Amino acid sequence: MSVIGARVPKLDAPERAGGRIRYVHDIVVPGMLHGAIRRSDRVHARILSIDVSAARALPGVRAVITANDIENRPFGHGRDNTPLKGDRVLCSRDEIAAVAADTEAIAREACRLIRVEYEDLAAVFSPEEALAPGAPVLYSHVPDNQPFHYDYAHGDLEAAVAESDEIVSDTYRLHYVTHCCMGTSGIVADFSAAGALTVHSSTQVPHMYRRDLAAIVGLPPEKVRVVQATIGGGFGSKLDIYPFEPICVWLARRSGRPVRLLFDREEEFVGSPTRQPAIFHMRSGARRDGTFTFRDVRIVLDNGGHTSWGATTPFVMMQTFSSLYRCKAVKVRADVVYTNNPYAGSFRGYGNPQATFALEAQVDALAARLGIDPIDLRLRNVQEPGEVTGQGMRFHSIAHKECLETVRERSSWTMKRGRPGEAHLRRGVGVASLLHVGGGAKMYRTDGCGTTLKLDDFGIVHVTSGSSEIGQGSDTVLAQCAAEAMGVRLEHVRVHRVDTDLGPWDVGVHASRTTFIAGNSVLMAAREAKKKLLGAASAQVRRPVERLDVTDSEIVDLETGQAVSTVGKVVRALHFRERGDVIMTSAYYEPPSQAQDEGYKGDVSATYAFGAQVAEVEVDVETGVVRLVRLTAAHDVGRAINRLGIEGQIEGGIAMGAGYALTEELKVSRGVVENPRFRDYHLVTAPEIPEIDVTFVEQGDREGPFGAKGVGEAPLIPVAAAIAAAVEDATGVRFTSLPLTPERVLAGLRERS
Amino acid sequence: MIHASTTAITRPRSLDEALAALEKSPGAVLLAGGTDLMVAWNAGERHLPERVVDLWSVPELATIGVAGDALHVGALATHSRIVGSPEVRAHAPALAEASRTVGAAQIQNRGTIGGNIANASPAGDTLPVLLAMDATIVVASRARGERPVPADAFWTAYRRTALAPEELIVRVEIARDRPQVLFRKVGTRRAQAIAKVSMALSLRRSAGGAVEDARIAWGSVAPTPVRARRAEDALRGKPLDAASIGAACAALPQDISPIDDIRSTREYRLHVAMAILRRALSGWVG
Ligand SMILES: Cc1cc2nc3c(=O)[nH]c(=O)nc-3n(C[C@H](O)[C@H](O)[C@H](O)COP(=O)(O)OP(=O)(O)OC[C@H]3O[C@@H](n4cnc5c(N)ncnc54)[C@H](O)[C@@H]3O)c2cc1C
Repeated sequence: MSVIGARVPKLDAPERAGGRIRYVHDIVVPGMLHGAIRRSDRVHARILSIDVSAARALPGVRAVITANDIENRPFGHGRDNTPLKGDRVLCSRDEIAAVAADTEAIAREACRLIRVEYEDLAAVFSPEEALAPGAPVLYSHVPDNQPFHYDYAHGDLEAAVAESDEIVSDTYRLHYVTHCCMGTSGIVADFSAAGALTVHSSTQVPHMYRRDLAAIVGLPPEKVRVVQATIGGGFGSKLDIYPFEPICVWLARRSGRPVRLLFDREEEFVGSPTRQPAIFHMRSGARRDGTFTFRDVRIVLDNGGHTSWGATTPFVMMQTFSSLYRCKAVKVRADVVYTNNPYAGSFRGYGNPQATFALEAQVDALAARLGIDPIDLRLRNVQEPGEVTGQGMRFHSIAHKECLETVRERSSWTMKRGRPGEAHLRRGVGVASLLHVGGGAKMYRTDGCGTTLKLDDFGIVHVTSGSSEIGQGSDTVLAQCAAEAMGVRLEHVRVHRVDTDLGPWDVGVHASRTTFIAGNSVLMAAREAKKKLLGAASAQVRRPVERLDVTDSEIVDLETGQAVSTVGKVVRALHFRERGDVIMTSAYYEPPSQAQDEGYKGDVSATYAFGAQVAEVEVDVETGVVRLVRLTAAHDVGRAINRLGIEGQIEGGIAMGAGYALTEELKVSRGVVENPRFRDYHLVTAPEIPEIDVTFVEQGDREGPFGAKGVGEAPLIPVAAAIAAAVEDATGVRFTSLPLTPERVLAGLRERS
Repeated sequence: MIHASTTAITRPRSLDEALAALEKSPGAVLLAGGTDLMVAWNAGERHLPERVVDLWSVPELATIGVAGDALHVGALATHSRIVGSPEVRAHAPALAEASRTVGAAQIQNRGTIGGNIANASPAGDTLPVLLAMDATIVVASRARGERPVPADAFWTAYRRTALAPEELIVRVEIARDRPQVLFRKVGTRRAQAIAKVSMALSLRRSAGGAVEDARIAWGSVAPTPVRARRAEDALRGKPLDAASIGAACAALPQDISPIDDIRSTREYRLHVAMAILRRALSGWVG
């Protein structure tokens, strides 16, 4: 019986639910010290002096470091960050000193005892301020405060504008939210006597991390081993290296002891990356018949005081603008602007929820102007299989149309749209679509993933993938792929954690790539192993190899239907003799995608995922409270490998999207996070989870493992756009910024009336 | 802060023992469910005290029942027990409703009504209900025995109460013949949300429909839970019609003094308070 498409509980669920799994917080290395970081008290200031004498004198303190005590190499996408800040701080999370001590409490107390003298510098708290003439310059080598620009264009914009019958224009502002991983950030750094470093890390890109961390701390990469700890939530937050990681390594070096450094919850809010806040100034046009003509977008990104992956989100934003719908001419300009705010990293969707919010608002505005139903208007502009977009993406399989039709049907759209009612509780429905990479993204020279696979003496298949489980359920999917390809029972497959000394290379968990890329890699290794297994079996049971197959972990004679051996028996007999052998295979899968050219064009992913969602809301027009009542989703998943897992992924994405739309906001005031605690930073809770109706559109992708596409990020992407559309249907007001808190909604409604 | 473990904890097994412990050290902090205290201690908002009297095992404080013409709710009754109590549901359903909105299930399992009252947060969810029900908060000390304090006189200033240092709250008494109370809470979400605005409203009307008595109590719109006395006055003696409702709503801003804080804004609170009052009065039946 096939395990593909089955409902398989996550393999590690009993361990997680039973409290047995070991996160980085649970790792104890003999002799280990505890690290803590002293952060800035200012958002932009010159550091005049740092006095660590009281911290050093505190009993139990084993090492105190400042920028002067380490080789403080610059790092990050903009090379504008350092582990510790010696002469200047640029945002409130900035790290000034660090302590290793016998206990965490002592380390934190010592940090408090460090005295820092500052001289405040003029600060900027929004891109507008930073772009104003005469604004303070944050980095002297970037006099306009704009470290990065992106320019994308296809088609003849002027001509397309000229042929438009309707043009809409607006500005959209998206706010700060943060990942809120249940497991806070942490790392353990441990040097051997010979000076080799082992780090237990929660990184979601272990192999690249090894190279990058080595460079930051000045070690040859061959002396660094990265052992991935069980990750308590990633969502993109662990895609970059952040200062606490080299800091912990330096503490271990300076103290000569292993050091574990963990964030507490408040530090997690203050010292972690955020989702990239964004401003979109945008115009779009359409012809009377609904054909989209052009889109002209200027994006302004608040980069914060240092650069992390947030600055690269325009890569993904422009894909949505250029290719979610057919559109003749698209121009996207993005300016990344330094401020003294917190800095953004990567976060599930990688800029796409923001871009989709803006784009879908304009599609709805055009629909209203043209008098065309929003779903009809989208259907008029969806693309067909085989189409190549202006940006060069090839849609071999695309079920966008089917997704839109499905949600129209299943949400009772036609009955519900445009009927808000007269009562103070108004109802509305709104729709949004999404496009996201579904077959990796060739951002580096390779987008590949390695697998090694070993069959043990008792028929257990040990899979070591370069890719990582970060809670998304990929270990379970990879086990299903191996079980299916080899014919063994699912419980006979074990997927092992990443250890850069043991496992093969991989780019990391991002771009919704793991099921697709790592899945294909596992299939290659598993097929190879099965071949070798049947070859050995054939010699052992003296039957031609074509007559044998593996079913349910047994070797079966296809002619008689009888089991003639077992996987374990074959492996044992293979090596327990003279001139024996073992069954271990390896594979490296490289997807058939292209790196983009300098104009950001190219078929960057091996396949693309689409989807559509209809949100139904109830708005209390007297209090501004918005309730998400129902969410109907249809996702172009290619093929569901683990039906339970993908349902969880979609439901989780919807919950995260609902939080982004309705309740979550990292309140940053003059550079300072005002609500660094769950009491004041509001995730959605169980009662806010709407009725969810999910349909998988399974047309099978020609390249995906068993036809699957990657959909890890997809379900989150359109949620906020759909909710804003539904609120508009209920109230007549289109909100152009988030979150739709009761205060914002009520103010918007009052402004209109 | 490095937590020194110098806090002495006493665990009385009876009300007498509790009162004696309190008399011996009047500065001691009373601990019930700890859902307010633990947060304050952990966040460093309050110092760990030298003495704690843990009330959790005092059985007399935990009872819920009817005595004569009043419902008695022990100070140690948890919100979960209040929600599940047939007596509360029969005689003070709005109190059960308010308790059901406190935090979420875990908090309701530990948090008590006595803690909610003594903590004296203007956002405490049961407090407006107690005001609207004209409840009596019975406190006691070893020296003076029991002392009834009307809810109206209990919260004296921002996070201040009428409780003396050697006193504890024993129970809440609610007359059974009180008119029903309508409770409304507005927050960002439906669980784990501290109120932006909450309201508890009760009206008694004559056979002819005139309002004989109105009690309109509010949370999160003033330094203490407050009654909107001017709004109440605007209704008293009048039929419940557009004119009196309009007058009550117009009077409301003088009764409350909402502020901007991390949870909401002054403007929002003011507007929503008026809106939910208008809706409650307009839809009033009975
Ligand atoms: C996550 C979370 C969510 C919350 N959400 C809400 C909410 O939505 N609404 C809300 O109203 N509250 C909320 N609270 C606050 C808290 O749960 C309630 O106020 C609860 O009723 C407090 O009861 P307790 O028994 O835990 O009090 P404790 O923390 O034990 O005590 C609180 C105060 O009361 C005093 N005290 C306790 N019992 C007595 C007594 N018998 N006599 C005299 N003094 C006494 C204590 O000395 C202390 O000063 C929340 C708390 C948390 C942690």
